[in-house]
Amino acid sequence: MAYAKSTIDRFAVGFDRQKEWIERRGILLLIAFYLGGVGGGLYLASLIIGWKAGIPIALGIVFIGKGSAHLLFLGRPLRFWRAFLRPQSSWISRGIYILLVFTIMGLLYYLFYGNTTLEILSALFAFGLIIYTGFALAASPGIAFWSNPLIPIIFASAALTSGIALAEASHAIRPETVILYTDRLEILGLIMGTAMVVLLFTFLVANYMSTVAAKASVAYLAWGSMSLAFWIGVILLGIVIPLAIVVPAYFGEVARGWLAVAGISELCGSFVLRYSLLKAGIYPPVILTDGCVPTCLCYELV
Amino acid sequence: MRYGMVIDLRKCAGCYSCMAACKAENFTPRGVFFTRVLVDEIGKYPNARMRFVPVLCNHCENPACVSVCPTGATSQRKDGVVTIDPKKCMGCRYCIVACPYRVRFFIDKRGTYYDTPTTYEVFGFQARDYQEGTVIKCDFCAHRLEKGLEPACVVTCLSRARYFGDLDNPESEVSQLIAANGGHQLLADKGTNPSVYYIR
Repeated sequence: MAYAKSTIDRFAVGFDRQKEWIERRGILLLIAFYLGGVGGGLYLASLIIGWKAGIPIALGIVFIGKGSAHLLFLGRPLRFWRAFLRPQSSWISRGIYILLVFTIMGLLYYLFYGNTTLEILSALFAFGLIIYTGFALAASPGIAFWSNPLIPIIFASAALTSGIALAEASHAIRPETVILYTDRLEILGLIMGTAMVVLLFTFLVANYMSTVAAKASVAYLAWGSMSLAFWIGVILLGIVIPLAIVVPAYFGEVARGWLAVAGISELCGSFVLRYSLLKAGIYPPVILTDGCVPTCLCYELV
Repeated sequence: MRYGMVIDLRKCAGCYSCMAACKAENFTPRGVFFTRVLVDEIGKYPNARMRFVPVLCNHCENPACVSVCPTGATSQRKDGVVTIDPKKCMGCRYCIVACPYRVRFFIDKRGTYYDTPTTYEVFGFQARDYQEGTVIKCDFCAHRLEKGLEPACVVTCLSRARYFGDLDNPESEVSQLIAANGGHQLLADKGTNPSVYYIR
């Protein structure tokens, strides 16, 4: 009888990746995190650049896209209402409240466009939406790579960058899109792109100098079996290509088509970034032995 | 009152009888092992030897699984045992991700060991309320504790490597073993304060 490899590996001592939130149906959770980030980021970006039509798009992405991905991920979707019961301790509960209040506030702001109170309140909940996923990951003590204070900031920054990228791509593809402050797009893109470089570098270095499991996560991403996705997806698509287009655009003129490329490239990179962060969640061995030397990748990740 | 377990690694022979007893007692589905025996190799040739480390839910004093559970399905009883209410679990698997010990299992489909369920498995389906789409784990054989019995893995252990009792009672066998031998907890740095101690 053939047994799954994961079953057999449960009896070995060593590092182990988290699989529940990334493999098989776990992909739906990645999609939910991604759509929540893109939607929340787009909402904030729409407020900053004055793009009214961006608001309903953002709300749709969050409420329909993120909401349904979360529901489909659950083993018992009909019991989702129970997640409202524990906001005092669980980030999933808090996230559901944030999602719901954000959608209502955003809808009200769209209906009463220009109302400052609603604008501030909806912006606060949009910020909550893009940062809570990071806190949800950070609440897992078993995974040192996630239990890092920088992870909520990285999630929030990546979300805002994605929102800007989506607005930029939409504007480049459809020039008739009414955006009041188009000049802010390039500045925001430049600032967030640079911030992502600094944040990611700091996050990886801080983790590498941390525990053995966190070091193993960095090794897995930077030169392990996830390195191709990390360097091509996160670094090249998510940072290098968008910055290579946005920097000249800021200092001069760049064809609209290139701005669309920058936006789409960043959106892809942002997806791979979340994929990589979830995939690199590595548990330490429950028993540390002399054989565990993560620096040389002599362990086998399953 | 805080139930806990002491496992004397010097006595564990790696016979896996605890795993078999647990499976028989709890009718766990295919691929699910509430208790496992990890096999490790320590030392170098010619002084290398096998080490067997039984692991199970640690029923931590500060369980990460309880605080992250959004529905309240995972909870801690007054006697320290961490349990899951299958009727409340919505299958978000946050507890599996948060647990540093990887001792929780998600039942996607209730798998059987053969194409058709055995009589034993059919009986298990009726005896245990394991629901598809929910998470399950060791509960220190709560149904046995209610009857004043020890967990199945403890009574089955051939070399008497497992001890069970009240960690809060200094006179209990487990407390005295820890006091005399110095009990080690797995991943003690995670701040969970496991109720399962190891003697090396």
